[in-house]
Amino acid sequence: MDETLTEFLGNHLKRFLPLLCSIFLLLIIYIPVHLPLSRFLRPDLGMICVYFWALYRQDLFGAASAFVLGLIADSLSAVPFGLNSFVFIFIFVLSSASSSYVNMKPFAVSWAGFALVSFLAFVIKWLLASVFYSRFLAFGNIFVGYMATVCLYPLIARLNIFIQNRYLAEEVVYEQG
Amino acid sequence: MKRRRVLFIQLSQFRLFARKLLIAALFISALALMMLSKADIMLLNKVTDTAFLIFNPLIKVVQLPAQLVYDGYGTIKDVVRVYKENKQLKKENLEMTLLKNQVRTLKMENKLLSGLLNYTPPPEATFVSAKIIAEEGDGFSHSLIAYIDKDADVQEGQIVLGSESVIGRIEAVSGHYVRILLFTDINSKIPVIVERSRERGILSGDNTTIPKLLFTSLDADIRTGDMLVTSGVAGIFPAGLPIGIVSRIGEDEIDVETITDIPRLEYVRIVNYGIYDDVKRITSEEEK
Repeated sequence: MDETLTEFLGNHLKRFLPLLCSIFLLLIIYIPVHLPLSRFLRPDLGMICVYFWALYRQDLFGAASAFVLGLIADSLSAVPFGLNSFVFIFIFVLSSASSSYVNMKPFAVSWAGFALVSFLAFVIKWLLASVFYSRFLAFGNIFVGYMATVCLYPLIARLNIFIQNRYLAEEVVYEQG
Repeated sequence: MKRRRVLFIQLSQFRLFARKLLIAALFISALALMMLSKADIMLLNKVTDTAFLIFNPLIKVVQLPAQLVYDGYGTIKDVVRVYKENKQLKKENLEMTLLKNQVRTLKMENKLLSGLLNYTPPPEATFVSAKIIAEEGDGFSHSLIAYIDKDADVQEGQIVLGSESVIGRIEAVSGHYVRILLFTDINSKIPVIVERSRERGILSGDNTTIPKLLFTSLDADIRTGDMLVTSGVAGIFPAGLPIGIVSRIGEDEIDVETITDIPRLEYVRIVNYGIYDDVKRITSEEEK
């Protein structure tokens, strides 16, 4: 049966849905909230998205997607250009490697996995930024950011699960080897 | 059948190898980008400016629903506030009328005395108001993104004032959008002077909300509560602009409290004193 243009566009949009949702969530974090705590409690939603999609849908969210998402984060923030890209690929590699262990396990396992992976990612980001600026950045604020990110994981993961089940479930592709 | 299976394994291994190669290439690209941004390459700056221009309108779109709720709540609050303010303003208006007359007299007196001294006044500053559309503040960087009129004369390096004091400088300009590097950011170093004792120092951001006063002499006369103003030494900031208050004097460092409540800022003023243009002109002439 011939594919209509709408179906064709719809199918291709679905392929980019994880990346588009991740960009949307990434942008949300930059909205000014005019609260004093906003300068401390700023979670890194990009990390959550990269971890989640690399864990469950590597076929739709590859290393290139993680890199692009990182570049967008880099262009919006004042961090050294390339820093977020590096960290997001690092998370992608760890997450995709642990995919077979975490898949089909209770949600708490993936949450604990994220806590570990994001901690390593924050440490790497802190080290790279410290090398870039030739001085150690204050780790206290970064740790608060890490805690906020870990605490927000269930909410963002649930949102991503909803997107996966509602729009992408019929396109599940299992790769062997 | 056997041949097919071999082909499948070979393809699978090839895909696996290609994937590993891609990841390695992306890692190297990210590191290369970091090194290039350290070297401040013009081409990379143009690329980042373009990306900045593309993604900032998206932030405006994303924040629309949140902005509507926030504006609705703000309108209710404003009605109550305006009533109280109106009373206060009527009272202040009377006082201002008296002050206006005094200022006019002083201005005339100043003009006469300046004429006697053959004094050349500095160029008057011009400013542009800009709405903050995005904020970033974590352990890695402190910046704001503001929306400006496309024809506004805004350039990199210009000073940004909050409601009461200096909050940073323009780091990037791209179309309608500017990135403001806050003075709490690790990249910010501003020469300052203690208003009371005229002691000099450098106000250095460290990606926390409490910047530090560095390079002061050991016997410097600095007390808690002292006001810091820009010294104008580096040639980018004019002298005398308030920037912070000394909040703690430790053994190794002096903490500074910001005057403006940056998280609550909605609008900023981008001021052009003309100093940065002069500095750029002189630098380019020297380079030639």
